[in-house]
Amino acid sequence: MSQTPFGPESAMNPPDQPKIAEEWFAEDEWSSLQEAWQSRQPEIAVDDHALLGKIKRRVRFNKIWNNLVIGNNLFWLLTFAYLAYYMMTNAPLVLALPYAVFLGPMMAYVTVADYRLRRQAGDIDHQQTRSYLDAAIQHCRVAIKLRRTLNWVYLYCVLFIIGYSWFYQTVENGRYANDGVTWIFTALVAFYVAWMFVSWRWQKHKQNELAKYENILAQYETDGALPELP
Amino acid sequence: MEPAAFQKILDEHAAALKRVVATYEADPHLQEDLYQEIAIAIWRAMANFRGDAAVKTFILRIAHNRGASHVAKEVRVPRGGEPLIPLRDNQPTPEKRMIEKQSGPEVRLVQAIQKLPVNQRQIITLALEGTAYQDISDILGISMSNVGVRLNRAKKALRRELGLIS
Repeated sequence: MSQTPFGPESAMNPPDQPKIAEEWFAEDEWSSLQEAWQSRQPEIAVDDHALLGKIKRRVRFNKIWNNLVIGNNLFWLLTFAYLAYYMMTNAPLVLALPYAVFLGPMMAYVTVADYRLRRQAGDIDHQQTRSYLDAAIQHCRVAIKLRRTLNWVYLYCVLFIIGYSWFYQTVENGRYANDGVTWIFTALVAFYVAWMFVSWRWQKHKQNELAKYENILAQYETDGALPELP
Repeated sequence: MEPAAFQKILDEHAAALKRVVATYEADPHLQEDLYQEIAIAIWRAMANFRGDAAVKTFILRIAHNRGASHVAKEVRVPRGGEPLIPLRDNQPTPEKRMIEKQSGPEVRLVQAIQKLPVNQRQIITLALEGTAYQDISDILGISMSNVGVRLNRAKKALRRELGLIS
């Protein structure tokens, strides 16, 4: 009995089935295609539990975003180093001193802290449901920690600008004071206060998200089920 | 159904299911999602499985239905009508053409299948899996004679995509 790609010929071409006028593949050609097809083992990672795609997509997005920010951090670290060099060699002392003592080290510290925190969230093996949940929780924790740190930084900036504006406008009996400079200082203070507010709101959002993920993880650990995501 | 029994069925047919998934979705991340969707659908449907058909036929039917829905979802045109200018050029780049030329027969076969319309993709992959006409007819919900006609067209299209005819 001859073989077709679908089994024995008699089984595959019952009498009531119309014969096909043309065959586009010779029998051996088709068999080799079938062999090639059936030997294929696509590598698709499979979770130990059916996982909602939403968590996965969020974790992937966070990972990409964190890597972008890390790249951005490295760029700014180089910029701060260059600015420090520029300030020390070219800028007047009234600008160079506050940069060297306050602003430069603070910016460098924040950038390094940001980099280290985000790196923590990147070193997770995303293969199983559990590790995805861990990653989502870790991303939230890092985001909250970053927001807390940055809120203090913004507050520090506000105090620094107020202090510096006082220093700037009183040094050498107010020689540098004028309306334009006052306007810039006011705008900077307003800018950082607004950022503090936005950052605080984002921190609250991340805290809520963290609580939800922790509930999901607790439920997953208890009965192996994933509830609907909010 | 017992989770262990379900896992056993899934393990037995994992390779075939993954091939189905790879036919409908090329992006590795979305392949994972689609595989999960199919696994969930099979889990839900197994409760109603009465053994009228072979298990493989049953799960392939679910996988192909999910795969077709996935493709339909991906190509759905947003409200407001079709864009006047195509947003994406679907022609392969010269680099992609070179990679295709240099890759092995399995990869070329999959790439050729992925270029076929969904209905031809379904029938050709079922035939390549060695599924009987009767089962293909059951899975796709078409008559046996229609299976023959469609398969013939799909084979012609596959031959063209493989570059064996112009």
